[in-house]
Amino acid sequence: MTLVLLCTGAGARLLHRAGAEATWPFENALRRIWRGASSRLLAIVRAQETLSRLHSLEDEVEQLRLDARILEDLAAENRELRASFGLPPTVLRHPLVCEPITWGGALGWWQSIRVNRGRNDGVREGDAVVCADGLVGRVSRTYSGVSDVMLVTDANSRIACTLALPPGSPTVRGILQGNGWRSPSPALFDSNGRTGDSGLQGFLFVADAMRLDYIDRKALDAGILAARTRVVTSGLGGQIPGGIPVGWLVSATLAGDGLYGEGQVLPAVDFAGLKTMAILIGGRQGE
Amino acid sequence: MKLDLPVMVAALLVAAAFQDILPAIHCGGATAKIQLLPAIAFYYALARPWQLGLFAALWAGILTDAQSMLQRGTTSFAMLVAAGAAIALRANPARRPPVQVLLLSIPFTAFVIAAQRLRAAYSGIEPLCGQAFAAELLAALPFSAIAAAYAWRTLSRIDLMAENTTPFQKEEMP
Repeated sequence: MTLVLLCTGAGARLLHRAGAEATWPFENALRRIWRGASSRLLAIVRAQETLSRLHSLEDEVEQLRLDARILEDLAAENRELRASFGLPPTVLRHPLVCEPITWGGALGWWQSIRVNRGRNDGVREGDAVVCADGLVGRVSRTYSGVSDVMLVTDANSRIACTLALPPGSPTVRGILQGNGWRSPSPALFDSNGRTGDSGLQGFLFVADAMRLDYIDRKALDAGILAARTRVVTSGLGGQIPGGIPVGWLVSATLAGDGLYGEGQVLPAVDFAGLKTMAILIGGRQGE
Repeated sequence: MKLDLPVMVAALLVAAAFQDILPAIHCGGATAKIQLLPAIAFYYALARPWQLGLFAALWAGILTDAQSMLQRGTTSFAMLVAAGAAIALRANPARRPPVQVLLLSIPFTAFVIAAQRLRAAYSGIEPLCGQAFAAELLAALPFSAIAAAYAWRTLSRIDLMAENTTPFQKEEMP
């Protein structure tokens, strides 16, 4: 019967969903056991360090609470101003704190992580996942208690971005595409795997540089695309809010077809050190 | 009452969770994970009745595909073929020393990985690169073989404790 179900489209979907739903509680449990054991061990080994870290974190939390209060006042002021100009209220996204459980799926081939929040927490497919450094990726699949997040470095990821140029400069947009881990970018590595002309970044960053496609060639001709320009999300499409840092432009050249420019972008996020992130849930209406 | 199914379900789910959680091995530009689900399918294919072997292979494949972005049914099919071949070729099951289990599991797991790679290349997910594939096999197979030997030993004991199987000494007595 299982085999028959597997041969039909809906049946296969059902079986795979059942498989994923049955597995995630075990993953969560294993992760918790591992975290609990390692944190207890660390607390014993580094008791003094843990105590001082706790004090500094308490100070930081107080500071953040103060900041949050100031932001609440600003938000109220913003709401009043929008109302006075007759503009619809901004729908804010609620950051849902999450942490990674697994990396790369069962085969380890993909640039994806599984986080410990799912449909029951209000997560929907397409929601943006961010950390303090910038955009991590977007939710690609949701289950009842966990979600799969496709990282911006995945070869299948496409994010509408814009370059944060100095005031007065024209808006330059592009589509950011990941390169994955296993396909070294030709501009950073030569055929022997050694770093090329702009190669130092290849050593500094674990992930390959991402590619920013469809850059307006007028911007290239004008020479306004300097290295280390910040790349942020454009907010086009409404799924991912605008202004979230994604990376830094390394170089920009004319594409092979000569119609558009393409750039190399190093990710802003250190994916190897991801611990706590936030899924931006809700707020898709009215934008 | 036999506890074949509960033991198999628990083994598959725990193996799936571990396979997902354990970090990937990076070797020569390739990324691979320790293949625990094929290890479970391998045990059931060689040590238990053929129906259980095929059922375990099918569900090990479903769980693998559910936790990856491979097209549904890819690993299920590969594992069914591998388990079918193992069942057809097996002789005197369950009396295998760990080294033999370790060695026999290598072609089983290699076939599953090769099928997944071919499917990924055919679907356009990732082009097939001989060097990367060889590196992936090199990274995954030794650890997966050790995992298979360990899974065999653990599951043999659990099945014995659950009275799903009987000790060999008793079987051999006239």
